[in-house]
Amino acid sequence: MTAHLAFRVEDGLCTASPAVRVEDLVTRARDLGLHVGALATGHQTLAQALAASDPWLRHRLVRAELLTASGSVRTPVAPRAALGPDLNGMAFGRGPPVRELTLRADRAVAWGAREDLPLGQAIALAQALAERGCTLVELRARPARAPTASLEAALPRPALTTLLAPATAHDLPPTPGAPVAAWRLGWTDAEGAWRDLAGLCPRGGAVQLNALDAATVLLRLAVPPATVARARDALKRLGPRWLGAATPVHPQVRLALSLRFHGPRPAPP
Amino acid sequence: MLAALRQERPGLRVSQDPMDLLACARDASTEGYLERRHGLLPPGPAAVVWPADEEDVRAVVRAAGRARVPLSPLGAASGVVHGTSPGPSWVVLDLKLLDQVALDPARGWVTAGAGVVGERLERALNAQGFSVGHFPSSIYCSTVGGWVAARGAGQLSSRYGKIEDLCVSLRFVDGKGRFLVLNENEQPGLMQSIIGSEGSLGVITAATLRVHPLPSHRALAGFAAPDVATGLSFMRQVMQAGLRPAVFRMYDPTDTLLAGGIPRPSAPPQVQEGCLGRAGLEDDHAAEASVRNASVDLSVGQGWESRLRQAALRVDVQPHLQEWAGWLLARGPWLRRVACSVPSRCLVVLGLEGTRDDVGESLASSLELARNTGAVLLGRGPGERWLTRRYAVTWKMPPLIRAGGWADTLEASAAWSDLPALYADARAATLRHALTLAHFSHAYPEGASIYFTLAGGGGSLEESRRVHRAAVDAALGVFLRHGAALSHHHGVGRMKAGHLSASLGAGAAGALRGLKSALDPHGILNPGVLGLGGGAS
Repeated sequence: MTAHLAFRVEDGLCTASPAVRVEDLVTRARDLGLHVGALATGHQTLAQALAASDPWLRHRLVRAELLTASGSVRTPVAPRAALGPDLNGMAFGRGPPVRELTLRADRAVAWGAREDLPLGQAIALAQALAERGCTLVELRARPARAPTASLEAALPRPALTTLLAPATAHDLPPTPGAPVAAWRLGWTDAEGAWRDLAGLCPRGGAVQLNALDAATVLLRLAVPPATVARARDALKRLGPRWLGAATPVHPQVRLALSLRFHGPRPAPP
Repeated sequence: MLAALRQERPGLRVSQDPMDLLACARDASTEGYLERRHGLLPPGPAAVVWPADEEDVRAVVRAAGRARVPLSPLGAASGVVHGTSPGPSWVVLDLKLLDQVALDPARGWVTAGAGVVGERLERALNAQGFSVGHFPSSIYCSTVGGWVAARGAGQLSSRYGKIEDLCVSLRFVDGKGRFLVLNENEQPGLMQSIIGSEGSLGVITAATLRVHPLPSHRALAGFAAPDVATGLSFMRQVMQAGLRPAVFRMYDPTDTLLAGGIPRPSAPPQVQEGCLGRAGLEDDHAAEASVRNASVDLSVGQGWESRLRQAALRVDVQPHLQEWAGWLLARGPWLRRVACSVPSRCLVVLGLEGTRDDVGESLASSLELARNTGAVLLGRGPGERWLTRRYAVTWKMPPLIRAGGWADTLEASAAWSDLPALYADARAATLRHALTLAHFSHAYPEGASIYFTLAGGGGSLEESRRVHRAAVDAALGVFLRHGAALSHHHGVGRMKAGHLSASLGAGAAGALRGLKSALDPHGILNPGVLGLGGGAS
């Protein structure tokens, strides 16, 4: 599938096909004075982020165009529609083929960065920035190397340089490996969860935090493939501590949804 | 079904009293108001039941499934899209006894039963220093379950988000009586499928919502924009600068006129202690005042329109006001010509809340953006006036209907660059049928919602229905042509169901039917909403 990527700068939106490389998306946005909420996601393409049901992409997605067994689904290019169940959700996981996505691309009038911040201080600074409207605040650490984190943020207005001195936008950070899991949490849980995940991190692994908004963060754990299963199990055990009571969806419902909601895939042309 | 249910759940409250049935027969949609004004009482359902816990809900749903009796889940029936309209053989599942509230302050969550009325939830949280930040104008007559079922929004959504942003997890019973708990990490897609399902996929029994500590400071400001385009440009720049105003609304010229016109500049805005969310909820007197003000408080503003209005108000206006409204609306063409010739200026209201530093910096940045875009500062008066009357709109409909008029509201959302043409075209299309005013609110970095109010009057029930439907269809047709969302927070109900496929694509109906058959295979849950029929009698 060919990759196409176009920005509507006035609206803070970009339209992309799933084949678009995440790095291209991030770079093109930055060239236009915009950002898409993260610098490193661990995914090579948007299609991979969709397949992994990445909460970052879910949080950014305004519109999806999909090809279902009964025809195309095209949600409106409009914020927060109240048109029944969110059909954009069909784009994720084992959903029908996605033709096009429209994502939010927020303004970045300046960039700021800090290195080697103690974790508590880094998270407090990230939260303060998010509460002032920064929608790209990214913390990264390699826990096996140092107990500190680096912070990079896109500033949507000049006044915020009082919180974080501007810096030249860095080269895109290296992606150490495919993310094992990404968890959406409240800010109050962020530091404890980070420490738990860091404790699981083998040499070479990385923990990353992205501020989603003033209320929530996304924690990513990226580890070498050999430790994927162990980390996934550990994350499952940790999950309820943050999420409160949750019961699994009844298998019959899950099966019914996977069969009926997505429908059989149409034959390729 | 009821006999079996009484045997299975002996404590379950059930009523077939005609008054109980009438009370839950319709929501607050215009069509229902019109019918009642003309003496057409809906037949009502066969029975209403009040489950006291989730096991009661499961028992009712299972019994209805066995008997193939349609169920209509009910919160407070303040919806306006004909989402609550039980047929004569249906049973209404009134959820108001599911009214538990449990705050987890450490986590920043509250779990509230589906039947908790918004005002009660907010008061309970305020007493402990928290707020959900969800303040629909229907807060006195809407429930947590209703908010979730309709994808509702509150007046402070630009800061705190809509209900789908606030939901951490949901508890619900599907159409086969299976109990499910969904959360945003493990089943985000399914949770977002239940949010907005309008009672057609399951019965929401409780929701866990994010809460926020009560902000310590606030600031209010009003601006005059020379026209709609300038006002929208100001709103867009504020939102894209990462500012998160709690309140951000712009009234179109007609709505500005009806609110008293552009007032003279008042005292400059300043950072004050207190927050916006609590205002109006401090005590019951405020609520009563809100109701009273809704009917008679037109003495606002200092412009020529306002002075004229104030002169008229020197007489005891209340007994005459409703007659005037009906008389005016009955002269639709004349009124619409006047509406088209009003000055083009728009009133903009901005409200900020947060810490002192946050509010101070946000206010300074907003004022600078206003200067750069050509919006003129009017001081804090317009914002303060909005704050005192914020819930008034909920109570305006009955007097208008009694006076022989009608009004309806439609809310579309669109990207910023689409909004000016969408507004102009929808206004032009609806003015052929009804008086049209609009405000822009619920602003986001990528766009905003337009809230149209359509009003007409006079004539028979058939004539009122015909004009009302023509006005609504004209507006929805324009929304579709512009690719806008047909609804931002009222939902679809039965009112917009016929337009859903055109809005979401031909495959949407199949996807929704797939969800329906997976979760409600007997088709008993609120058949008809979202265009989803049912197999039940």
